[in-house]
Amino acid sequence: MLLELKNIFKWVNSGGQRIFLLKDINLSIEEGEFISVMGPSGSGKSTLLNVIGMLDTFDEGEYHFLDESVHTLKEKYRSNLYKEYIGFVFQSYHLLDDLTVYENLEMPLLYKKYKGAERKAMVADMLDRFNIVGKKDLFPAQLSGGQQQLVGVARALIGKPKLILADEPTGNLNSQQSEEIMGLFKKLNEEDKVTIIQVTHSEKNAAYGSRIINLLDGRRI
Amino acid sequence: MFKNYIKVAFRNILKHKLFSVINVLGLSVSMATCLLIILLIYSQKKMDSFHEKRDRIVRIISDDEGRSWASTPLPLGKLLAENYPHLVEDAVRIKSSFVGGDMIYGENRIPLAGRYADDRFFTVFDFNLIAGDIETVLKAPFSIVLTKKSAEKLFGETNPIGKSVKLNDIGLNTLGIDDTIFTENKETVLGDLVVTGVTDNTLPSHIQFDFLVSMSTLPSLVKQGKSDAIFDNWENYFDAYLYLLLKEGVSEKDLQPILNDVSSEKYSSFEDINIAFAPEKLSQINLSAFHQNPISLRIPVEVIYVLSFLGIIVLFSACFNYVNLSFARSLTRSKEIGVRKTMGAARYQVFVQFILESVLIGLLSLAVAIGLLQGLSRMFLDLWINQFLILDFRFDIVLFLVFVVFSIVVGLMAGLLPASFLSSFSPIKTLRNAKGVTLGKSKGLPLRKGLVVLQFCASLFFIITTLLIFSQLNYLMEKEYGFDQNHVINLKLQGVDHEILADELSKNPAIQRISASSFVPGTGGYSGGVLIKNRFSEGEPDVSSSFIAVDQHFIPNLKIELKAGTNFPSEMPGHNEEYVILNEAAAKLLGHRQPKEVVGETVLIGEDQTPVKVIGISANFIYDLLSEAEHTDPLVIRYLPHEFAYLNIRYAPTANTKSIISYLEQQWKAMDKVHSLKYHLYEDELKGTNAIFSDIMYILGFISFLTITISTLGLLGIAAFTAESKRKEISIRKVHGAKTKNITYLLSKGFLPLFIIAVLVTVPLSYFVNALWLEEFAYKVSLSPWIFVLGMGIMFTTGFGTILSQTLSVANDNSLLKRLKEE
Repeated sequence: MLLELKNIFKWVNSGGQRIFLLKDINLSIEEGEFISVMGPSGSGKSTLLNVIGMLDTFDEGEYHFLDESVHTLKEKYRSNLYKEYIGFVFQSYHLLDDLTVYENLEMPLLYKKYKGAERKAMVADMLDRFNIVGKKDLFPAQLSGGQQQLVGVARALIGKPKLILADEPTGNLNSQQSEEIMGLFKKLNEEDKVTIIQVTHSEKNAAYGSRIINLLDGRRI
Repeated sequence: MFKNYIKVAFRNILKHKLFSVINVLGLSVSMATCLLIILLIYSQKKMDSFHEKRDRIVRIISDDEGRSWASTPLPLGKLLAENYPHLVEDAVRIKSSFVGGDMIYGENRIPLAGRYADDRFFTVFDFNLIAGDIETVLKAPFSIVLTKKSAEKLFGETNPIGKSVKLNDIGLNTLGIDDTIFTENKETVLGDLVVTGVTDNTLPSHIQFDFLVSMSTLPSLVKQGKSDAIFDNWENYFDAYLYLLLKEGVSEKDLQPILNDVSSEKYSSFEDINIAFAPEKLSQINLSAFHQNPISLRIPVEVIYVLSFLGIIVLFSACFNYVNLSFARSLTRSKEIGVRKTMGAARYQVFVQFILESVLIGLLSLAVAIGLLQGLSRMFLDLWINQFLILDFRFDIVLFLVFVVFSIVVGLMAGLLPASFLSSFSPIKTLRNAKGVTLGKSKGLPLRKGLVVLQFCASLFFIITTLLIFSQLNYLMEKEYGFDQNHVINLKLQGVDHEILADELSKNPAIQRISASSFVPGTGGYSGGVLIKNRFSEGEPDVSSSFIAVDQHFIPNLKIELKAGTNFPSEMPGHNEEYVILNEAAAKLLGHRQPKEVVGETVLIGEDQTPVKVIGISANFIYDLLSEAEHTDPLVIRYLPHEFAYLNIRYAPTANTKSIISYLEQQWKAMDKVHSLKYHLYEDELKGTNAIFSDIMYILGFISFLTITISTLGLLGIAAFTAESKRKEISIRKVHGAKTKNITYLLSKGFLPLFIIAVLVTVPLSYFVNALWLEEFAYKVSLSPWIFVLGMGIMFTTGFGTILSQTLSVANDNSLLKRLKEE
């Protein structure tokens, strides 16, 4: 088992009232799954994803990730954990505008203390695999949305994570670009056995996954 | 990793040009100021560092009831060297009185100034002796060592060693201050002095000389009646500078008890003399507190403190800009921080990245600052005061390293707050909404406002202070002295008989009147004090007053007003003093309500209580330096021909000043073949006495200019970013019908409370600080509220001009609407 959420609650206090963002979420995910999280706006999809990604905290419940109890870990160990095992893909790509494609791919490796030669090899490998060698010296602004997201996925993969969290990865893309990215995810899942959790609005995209989790007002339904 | 950081930092610097230009500009001008101060301190530190035994050389200073003197009694050196050989390896005395005047070799006459020094001079100090034997060069009486420069002047190509020279000693000094340290009116011919060595003394040292004469010459001169040096006088601590070379391993602290012993042994029998001695390391001489009777002039360490303080204020102002602007644009960096953290960056890594960026800005600023320094140091050296100082502004590698370290420290200082703020961003918040709209608005805002207030305060303070100093200087320049200084030339007599010269000069019809005086009023000269016995009101103390010796033409010549009585009669007896004229202040101090009552009375003056008749009362004209003078300074105007040192020559206003001067030149040459003519135009000379204030004006004016410029730049940046970050709000308001002026008001009003706080803090502060120094002047401007109003006006105009320039452009920008539609 890759991760397990037990009775997760998350809330904010607003105007004397407690508003639940996540309510009694129970979820366990095996390695190699491809999961789609669905639900209307404000149902807690992104919050759930951030909790799983350890970017956000929760107020109650237990979270186990690869035999580690995340809810008892200190901030520093938590960040080491996600640094090592989790890759993120965002709706608006979040590439760094001041860095070239090459440098954007290299960036996560810098924080993982890889040596220069290793970094070079890993980036070259990634560029090759995604077929973007010719674009390595371009800046994000010089790429189309689809190409930017391609770089975004490559950047998420470069640290060889066990889990990829994708928050509406095709939200800003047209249908053809969407299909390419989703195809890529499926391939990664099947061939490289990477576990994927994506948040999506689209039934079509959700169909790429092996399991769908539906949320409404912070609850699983 | 580092390479990546630097790459990103460079791209950021290039991308955000306004931000970078404002920061580099502000930091570089303020750094240039600080570099100049570092240069100043460094040049003082470097002085005398070429002596190999510098760590073992100490100078002995004397302390007389709290006042410290750089000089010591003549016999101290010998006593220490003979009685304490286990501590003192060597001792060198340098006589404190100057020896100097025209040096004569054959047909050549060159004015040179030097010192008497002991024979161990060249063994203790490492002045490069290029000819002569170190051991013996200053041993024999009548030996003289010339510097390379003076040897070349006097001998040209000829080898000077073994040649005889004569010296017309008039006590010429090496300090370059001709007019305040008086050279003697009589000259003593010293000769023949034999040149035994030549030294190259171009390395910076606090010991300055054109030549050195052996100390052993002095006893012979005493015998010849040409010197009054006394070698066993313990009561006089003005006589000699004493340098000791300590034994290896002996520290100057070991010396102190011995010095205490000597002091108590020598002075315990005296009731009113109590002199203490203390050692001072050679390396400290140029950066320590001021001692009386200095061997050479230097910048007092207090001045360096004040300059450093001003430099730091300017530097902080520039750092504030960096902090402020970094906080203001944290919005634009928040996404980057979020992404980096999600990709695994730890907080310290983000922190290092931002610190590196600020250090890089610091280094960039250093490059610009070093360029600016070239101009700035030239400007500084042009200041009036620097003609008297020994400054060596040469660059070397150590200095450069100091500069680099300094700029890195500045970078760290500027970057510390922004880096810790920016690196604290949590990724989830920065990435939650792609635009990051609400982030960083409340956090750090009080800090930013505080910094803007501080900058406003500093600017306002400097503007007000500069305005005040300027008006005080102006006031001093315009101040009526109580005599007529226009069209008067003061000529230094230098021993020439005043009557004969005056007779010769008055043959020129353009010269209207000539008088003589012992010093020139208002230029800092001084003849001495005199005691007037108080016989008029019982129990009142005697009046101690300054005096000036003048002839019977002086008062009408300078058009000094007589309040009562008459001037000296035109026929005055040459010998006994019969009459005096008092000024009103002296008459008042003697207890007379109506000053004129004293006319005709006999007063007793001087130590021997000579009875003299008061024949006149003059108005209180200003005879001291304007900055020193008081309204109530008493003055006795006496007729003492032997004290006359100057002629005051009044010429016709229509006459050509240049032709008068060349006439004087011609007549002087006929009278005195030895000395050159020394004269000043009275008007210029009086203005010159205020030169030090002009220097202060320049420095403060410059600093306030920098402070204002830097804070204006900062405001420019803040206003630009504020406007930028409110673009959306502005366009929404415009859609709903807001006019340009509404929006301008909206964007600018936030600065008004900050300005008001600054005014409330700074106006009282600058009032008190400026009242403090103004208090030192008897003749001063009043602290008029208009100066404060004007200061605030200048602040307000520059400040809000800057803000408006930014807000107006945004408020007028109609492309905003289009963009909103697109969204």
